[in-house]
Amino acid sequence: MKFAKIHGLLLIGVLLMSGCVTTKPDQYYWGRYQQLLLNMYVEPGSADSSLQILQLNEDIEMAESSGKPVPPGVYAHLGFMYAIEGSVTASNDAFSEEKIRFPESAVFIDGMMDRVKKTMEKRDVTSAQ
Amino acid sequence: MLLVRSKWLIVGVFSFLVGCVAQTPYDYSALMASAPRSILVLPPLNNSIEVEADYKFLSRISKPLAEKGYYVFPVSVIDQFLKENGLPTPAEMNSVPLDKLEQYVGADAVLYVVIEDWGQKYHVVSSVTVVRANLRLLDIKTGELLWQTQAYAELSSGDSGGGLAGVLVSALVQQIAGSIVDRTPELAATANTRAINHKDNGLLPGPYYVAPQ
Repeated sequence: MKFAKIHGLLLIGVLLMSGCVTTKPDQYYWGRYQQLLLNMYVEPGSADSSLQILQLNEDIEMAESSGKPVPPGVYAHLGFMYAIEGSVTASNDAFSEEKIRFPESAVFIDGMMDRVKKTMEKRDVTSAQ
Repeated sequence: MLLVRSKWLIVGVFSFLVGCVAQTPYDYSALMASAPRSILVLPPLNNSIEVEADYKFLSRISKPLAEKGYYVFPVSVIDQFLKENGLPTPAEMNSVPLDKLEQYVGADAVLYVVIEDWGQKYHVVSSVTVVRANLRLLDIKTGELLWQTQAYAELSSGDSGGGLAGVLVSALVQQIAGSIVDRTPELAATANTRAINHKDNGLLPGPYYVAPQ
């Protein structure tokens, strides 16, 4: 009897612990985005732009089939990777998608698209000379 | 009578162990008045001895903030952007005036992070891995402090010194981390998720927050 009571108290302790934090299922489909952010710094070279583009696009497809939205920042990150590759159209498409989904990103995304455009123009001028 | 007392004592001890003692209510007035929709996370300042702690932390902060309903700017793109603009280190990035950040990023709020402790510590018969960081959210227009907290998590191994809470957290983290040797990124995720969702002093839900069904 006494033993049972102690068990009950232990259970209360565990419940109290879980009660400190409210958890919920993820509302976004995260895929490999976080791991990719880590690899970029911890293992440079393990995540070059073409690999990142491949993985991010796969994750976006997975998100669509899972029914959960793509998290903030993923399309912007993809747009940036396309810009590094020199794929201006794909970069603009991804950047625009981030802005449509999250209008809060507009100032930063517009600036990014503008800088990509200017960099490409400069590159064209240099290669024409 | 004695039995009742000892019961409460035990409950009290448990509450203390899990760090969930009743606190004075957190003052959310500045956060509610500002009601930010978007958060710019700057690469953390690192006071720990682990050189990669800053970017390990950075990889695990977007998710808990976004899941709390905020737009989080792409941390790595922001980092690259700042580096390309003459700010090669987190220390320099953290000293950029708010009006400049607002002009180029257009965020509503900026999260400043200082890592105080990171990694494995060896004791006589065991080791413990810890992650500890201080988080401060500032209004980008006024510089006013909107919210602050300390994110902390630890993973003990080899003994029962961590108490019940330590054992449970350790079991949970080990389960999540699987065979990955470096457990600190997942510990950082745990620390951030707990701090952001803490029922007494966590961050209030943002505009994209979807309440659990």
